Amino acid sequence: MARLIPLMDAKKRDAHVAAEWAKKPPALKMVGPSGTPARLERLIRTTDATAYDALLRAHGDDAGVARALIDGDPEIDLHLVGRRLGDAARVYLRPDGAVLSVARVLRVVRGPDGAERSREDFLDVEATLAEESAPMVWTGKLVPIGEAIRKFAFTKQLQLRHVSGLTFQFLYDIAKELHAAKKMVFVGTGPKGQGPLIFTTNGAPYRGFLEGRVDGDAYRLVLHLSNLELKSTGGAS
Amino acid sequence: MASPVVVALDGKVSTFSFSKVDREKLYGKRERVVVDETGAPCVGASLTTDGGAIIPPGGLAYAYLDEAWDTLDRSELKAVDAAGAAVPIAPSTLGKEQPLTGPVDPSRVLDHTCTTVYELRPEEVSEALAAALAAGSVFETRFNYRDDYADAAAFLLANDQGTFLLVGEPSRFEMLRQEQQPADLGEETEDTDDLDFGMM
Repeated sequence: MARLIPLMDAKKRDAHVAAEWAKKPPALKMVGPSGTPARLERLIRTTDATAYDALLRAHGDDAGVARALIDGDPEIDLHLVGRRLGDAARVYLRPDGAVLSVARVLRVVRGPDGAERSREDFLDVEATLAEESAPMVWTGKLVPIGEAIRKFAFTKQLQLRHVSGLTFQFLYDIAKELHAAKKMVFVGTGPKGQGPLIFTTNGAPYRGFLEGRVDGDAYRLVLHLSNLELKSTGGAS
Repeated sequence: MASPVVVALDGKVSTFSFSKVDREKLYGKRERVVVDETGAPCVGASLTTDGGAIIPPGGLAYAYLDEAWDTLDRSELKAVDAAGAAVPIAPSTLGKEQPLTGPVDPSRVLDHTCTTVYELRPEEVSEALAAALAAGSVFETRFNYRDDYADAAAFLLANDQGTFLLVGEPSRFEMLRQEQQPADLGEETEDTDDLDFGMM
């Protein structure tokens, strides 16, 4: 399924075009020894009443838990263990195991070393590129393909497709220009195109590069997205 | 420690140790943390639909079941494609010599969606490969971390930061002619990752 996004070209003309994510390969299915389908299920193993923390609270210390385990099976709820979870609601548990009724959501920032840098209330970050948003801006910054692939890992891709005869020509011309230059163009959001591309509320921000190819009267225009630079991690494993 | 990446160019073998490159290592991370009124972090759990039980983290087990609800051991399972044909397990490429093809055109990398990036550290590299990588050449090979069904294309390249192996899936985009229009326009969901502006 495609979505409509607004796109600006080098001449600052803009149009809504369709954008479609790269197709994932068909998923493999697992079968048992007899060839019958096997399905993966989430099964209940432990509940909050039988987990170790609950047993520790109930019996005081490890010795008490050990005595309870010798005397019976407090770690197993025979009515629930092995039952399929199915659709379940999300709840949050306090450190003492009680259900949290009023949650406060924070955004915690950690550096590469794992140390906390900041902690603040979580605020939604809206999408920057959607059907009703300002067009994705052609920055004019052209990058040779060989340079781009050695600088960024392109972890998502969208194919831009025409939705009419006019947008066919619009996209074909962009693809032709990039194909002839053998370059990709940096695109973004905001007045100068320096802003990140965010496709959904609280979605991941990406840098975007358009790549075009033409073959006769056919074209291929792809928006390559990256949120990872090819940089050394200094041997971190 | 994992076996090394071993590649061969024109019969000359090169060996690299490797580590995964991800956003957390480069930029850190931003995470959503739910806290109570005292600021103490809380953990997510699942409430069963009947409200009868709360399943804490680690309280679930994953199991393959057959049509009779009997569990199946993973070693008994086989993968089949959409047509029902058995799919063979591809052996791990680690520690095993993989031929390099190329240099390939850089646009070949763009025909793939990058799924994993590894930073390679040379252990023993042929002069020819080192020179080609330093000159900006890109080579293609195959990569599979462990014995499974995930054998994938991988691209070997270098920049001023080091040598990298980019593993990817073919993106399968088609050339479009005027008469080809999208048949299905609508809302589409995209994977939402942790919010992170590290590189912005």
